[in-house]
Amino acid sequence: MVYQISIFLENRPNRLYSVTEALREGNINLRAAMIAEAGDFGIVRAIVDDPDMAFKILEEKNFSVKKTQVVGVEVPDGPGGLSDIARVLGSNDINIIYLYAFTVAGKNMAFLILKTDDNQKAKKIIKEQLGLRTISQRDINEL
Amino acid sequence: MDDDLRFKLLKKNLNYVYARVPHYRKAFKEAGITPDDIGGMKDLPKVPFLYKDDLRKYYPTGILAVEKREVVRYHASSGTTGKPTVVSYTQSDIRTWAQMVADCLRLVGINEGDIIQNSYGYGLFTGGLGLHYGAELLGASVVPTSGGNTQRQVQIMKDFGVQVLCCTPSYALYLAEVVERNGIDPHELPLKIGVFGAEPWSDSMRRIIEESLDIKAYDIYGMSELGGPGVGMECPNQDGLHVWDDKFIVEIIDPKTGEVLPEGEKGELVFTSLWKEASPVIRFRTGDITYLYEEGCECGSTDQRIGRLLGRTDDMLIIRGVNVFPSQIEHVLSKIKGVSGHYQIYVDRKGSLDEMEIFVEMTKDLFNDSMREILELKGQIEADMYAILNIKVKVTIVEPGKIPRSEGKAQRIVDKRVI
Repeated sequence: MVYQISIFLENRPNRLYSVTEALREGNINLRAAMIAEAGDFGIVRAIVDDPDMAFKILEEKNFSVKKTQVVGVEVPDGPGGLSDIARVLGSNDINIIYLYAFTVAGKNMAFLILKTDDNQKAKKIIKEQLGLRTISQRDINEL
Repeated sequence: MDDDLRFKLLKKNLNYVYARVPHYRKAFKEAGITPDDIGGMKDLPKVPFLYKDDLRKYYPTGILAVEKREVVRYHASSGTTGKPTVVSYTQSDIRTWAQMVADCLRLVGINEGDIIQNSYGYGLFTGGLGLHYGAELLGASVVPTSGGNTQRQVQIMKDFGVQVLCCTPSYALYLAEVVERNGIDPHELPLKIGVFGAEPWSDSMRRIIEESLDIKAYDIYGMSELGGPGVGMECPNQDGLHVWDDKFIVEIIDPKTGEVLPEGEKGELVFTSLWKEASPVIRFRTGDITYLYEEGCECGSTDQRIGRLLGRTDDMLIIRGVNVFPSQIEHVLSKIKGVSGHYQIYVDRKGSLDEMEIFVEMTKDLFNDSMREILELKGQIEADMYAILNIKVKVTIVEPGKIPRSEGKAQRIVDKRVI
């Protein structure tokens, strides 16, 4: 499993900066980030090289922050990669709540971050039915 | 009205409440008096005050001076902590109240046969039914549109040839906007008079309403505890509100010391009813701030006259005619798990309608990465607020620590309205 940092933010200028600046000061490197918005507020979700430290820094700064487990999958960087995953999860009645992806320079792979209504089962199915490798936090740290 | 006659009425009412209402008997005893100690108008300040909080204790019948079966109607306004203040009426109370409202309407030249659109809300709120009964008694033709559905209100106003509009002043402004938006020329409407109350409004707002609807706009004063609308009314001179001498005794007091202030000085309005059978009020502290006129009106009336409202002694807000206490909001929030005690109420007027927004802090315990849960929480707070306040409130959830803290009394309310 991969640890994701989620932060509740008001949806207005400069709020994201307050988070990214805190992370910079703590020497935390972002691997991937996404913002989900719902009107007046949003949630920033990020994959970082040191989630424990990132959590600590943000909590000390009084943010509403949560560390959650998500599924990380290494997918060959080519057409249909995501479609296979969506298909097997769907046929096993697993709902994807959100997902985002990132690539790393020099590797021919994309990395998917998935939150589903049953992460354990999702991980198992992806491994068994697609033969794909799910990644751990250590993999993220070594990227 | 003759002072002796007025004093007789007062005395009759003091004896009445002392004999029939345990609350008054107890309060009089605590003050060390009986009605016999009141030998003239000058002795009225010896009588203890009645507070809104006192009335709240008598939920759900109200402070009752008659048998329950004699009550023919109940009205209620919001209380300070969620429980409403109930006011009850006997058959005779309803008749007298209607007569008072009819007299108010007649005072500004509204007559039998005039077509009145009553856009005050009908229900527990006294505005709708109060104006309705008074207008009917006058012999006017009432169109009971109640509040809301403004497009239809404007259509009815035009189609029915409405001559008199009754509603809150902010709703009148909104109606004026919709009239304009519909391409209707207000000069071509038969509308000539507006009777507006239930919230404070300024003379500049009056001018805007009068110009935009091409009418004369009059202020009507009332409060459910005093019976409802029709307690005070402007005459065509638009210079202070007349209060019928045989219905109420008005005092202005220093809200801090409780001392009676001379005419002309600003203070809290205190009313003693001389007509109410079911829920009589003796020296009721309204929380409204204004002053008493020294002289009779140019219109010839010698009845007591009060200035237009200048403010409140407490933190009560009036949003679209509805009384809102910050403590009610606090009460709702305190029942929701995970919500912090920090909140701020922001009131503004968008276009011409009051809007209330409540800022609530997201706590660390509450947040768990789920968008849905935050939206559900927001929806729940909004629904709970609506259930208690009966007005739509927007809830905005903010980051922890974002609501300003203060060392003294928290600044809970930001009121941006210009009235």
